Amino acid sequence: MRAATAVVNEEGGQSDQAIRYGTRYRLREFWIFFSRDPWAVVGLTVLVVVITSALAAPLIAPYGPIEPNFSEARQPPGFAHLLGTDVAGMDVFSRLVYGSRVSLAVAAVAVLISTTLGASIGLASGYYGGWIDAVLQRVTEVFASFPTLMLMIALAAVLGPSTQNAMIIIGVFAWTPLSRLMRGQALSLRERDFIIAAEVIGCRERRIISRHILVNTVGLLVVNAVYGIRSAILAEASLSFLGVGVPQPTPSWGSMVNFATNIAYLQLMPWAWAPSAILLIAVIASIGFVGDGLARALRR
Amino acid sequence: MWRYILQRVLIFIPTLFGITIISFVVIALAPGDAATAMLAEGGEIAKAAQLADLRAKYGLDDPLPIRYARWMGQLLRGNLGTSLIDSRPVSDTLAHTVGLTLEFTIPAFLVGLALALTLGAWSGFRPLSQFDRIVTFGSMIVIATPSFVLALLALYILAVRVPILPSGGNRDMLGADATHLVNRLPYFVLPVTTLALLTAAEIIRYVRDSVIDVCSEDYVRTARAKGLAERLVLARHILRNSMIPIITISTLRLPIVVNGAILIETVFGWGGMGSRIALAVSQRDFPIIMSATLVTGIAVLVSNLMADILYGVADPRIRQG
Repeated sequence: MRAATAVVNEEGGQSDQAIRYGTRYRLREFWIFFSRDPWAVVGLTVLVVVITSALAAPLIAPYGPIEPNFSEARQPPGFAHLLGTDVAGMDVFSRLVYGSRVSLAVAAVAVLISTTLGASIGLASGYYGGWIDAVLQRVTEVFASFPTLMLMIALAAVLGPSTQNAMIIIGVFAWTPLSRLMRGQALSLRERDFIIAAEVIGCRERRIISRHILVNTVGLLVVNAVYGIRSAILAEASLSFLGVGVPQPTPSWGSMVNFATNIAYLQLMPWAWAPSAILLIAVIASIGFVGDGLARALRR
Repeated sequence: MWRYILQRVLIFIPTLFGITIISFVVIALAPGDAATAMLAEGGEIAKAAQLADLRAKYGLDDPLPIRYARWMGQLLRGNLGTSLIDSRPVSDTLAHTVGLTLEFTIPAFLVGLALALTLGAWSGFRPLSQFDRIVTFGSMIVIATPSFVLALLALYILAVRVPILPSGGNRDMLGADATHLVNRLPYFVLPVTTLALLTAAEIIRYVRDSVIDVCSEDYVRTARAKGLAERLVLARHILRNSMIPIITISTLRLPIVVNGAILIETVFGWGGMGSRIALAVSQRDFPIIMSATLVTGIAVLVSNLMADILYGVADPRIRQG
C-alpha cells in the first residue's frame, strides 16, 4: 500500500504538461519515448500478431476449433497439421488460434469489470473520505488478503465452469490493487487547485469526480488495465488448467495446457500442450514489456 | 510499540470477519445444499419429504444471518464441517494436507527469499551491469511464466526427457522409504525449485530497487567518505537498510506463493492442500474447498499482521506515525 501511493505521486504530475500539446504531437512524442525501449517494441509486435490472428481466426485457422477427426488423431506436427493433432484429432494450430480469441475475450471482459469496480471504489474512497473510506478500505483489505486464486477456484467450483463465469469471477476479484491506486490519486488530486476551483464555482460532486478527477487518472488506468490483462490471462489460464475455467472442449490457452496433466500425454504428445504453454509465456512477457514501456513513456 | 501492535491487531479483526463472511456467502451460493448432496450421494431420487426433513435437521431453511451465526459458532470450536464425499471431518483432512504442503512451501519460500536477496542485492549494487541485465531479464521471464507452465516444463525436461528426477509423489505415497529423508530428497527438488524460482522472481526487483535507493542515501556517502571498507558499507549500511521494505513486500507476495503452490502441487501430485483442493473441485466437495479458502485467507492475513509488526520493529518511524 505504501509503495503504491508513492508511485501515484510520481505519476500525478503528467496532466498539466499533456494539455499543452495537440494530440498528434503527443502521440508522436509518446511513440518516441515508447520505442526507445527495444523490448517494449518486441512485446508490442508479439501482441499485435496474437491479437490480429485472434480476430482473424477463421481466415488463419485451417480447421475449426472443435473439429474432431479420430482417423487423424495424435499426429505429430507436419504439413497437414502444422502443430499436429490432439487425442481427438483436433488440429492444435487451429485450436491455438481460436483459443487466443477465448483467452483474450475472457481477459478483456474481466479487466473491464475489475477496472470499473476498482476505479469507482477507489475514487469514492479517496474523494469522500470519512466513514465511506473506512468501510471501503476494510472491504478492500478483505478482498486483497485472500489468495485470489483460491477464492476464484472456490467460486468457479460453486458456480460451475463456464467461459462467462470465468470472466465474471476473475473481474470481481481483481480490483483491489487499482482501487488502492485510485484512492491515492483521488486523495492527492482533491487538494489540487483546479478541484478546489471547481468546488468553488459549484460543480456537483459527480461532475468533479468524472470530469476532473477521473480524466486525470487516464494514464494510470491505461497502464493498470495493461497489467490487469496480464493477471487476467494468468488467472484464466490457471482456472482452465485446473478445469474450472473455460470448459473443454472449448479451446483456451489454459485449457490446452490442461492436456499435460495426463502424464502420458505430457510425455508422448508435447506438441499438443507445449505451443499453448509457450504462447502463454510469450504473451504475458510481452504485456509486461509493453506495460513497462507505457508507464515509462506516460511518465514523461 | 505495544500501542502499535494493539492498533494493528484491532484493524485485523474486522478483516478477519470479512473473510469469514465472504467464505460463507460463497458456500451459500452453491447450487443445491448439503441435503441434496447427501441424498444424491446415495443414488436415490431426492424425495421432497426427505429433503425437507434433512433441511430442517441441519437448519438449512433458516435465514442467512442465522445460518452464518451457527456456522461461525462451529468454526470457533474448530469444526469446519464434514466432506460431502468421504464424510470425514474437514479439519482432519486439512490438518493432514497442510502439513504436507508446508513441507515443501517453507523450504521453497526460504530458498526463494535467499535467492532474491543475493541476486537482487548484487544487481542493485551494480545497476545496469551485465549481471543486472541478466537477472532482471531472467526474473521477468519467470514472472511471465505461469507457475503450472514452469512446473510442467521442469517436469518435462528433468523427469521425462532427461529422467534424472522423479516426476512426483510425496511422503504418503512413498510408504516405508519415507522414513529416511535422503530417500525423499529427490522428490523435493522439482517442486521446491519451481516454487523458489517463482518466489525469487517476484521479490528480486524490489530488493534491487531498494538497494539502489539506499545506495544514494547520504549516510552511505558518509560511510564511504570516512573510508569504511566497501565490504562493510555494503553489509552494514546498504544491505541492512534496504532489507526493511523487503519484509513487507515478501509477505505481501505470500498470496502469490500460495496460488503457485496450489498449481505446482497439482502438477507434481504432491498430495498436499493444492492437490486436495483440485480433487475437491473436481468432486464439487464444497466444505473442503471453502475451508481451504478460509484457512489460506486467514494464514495470509496473519502473515500480513506479522509483517506489519515486524515492520514496526525494524523501522521506528513507522510505529510513531
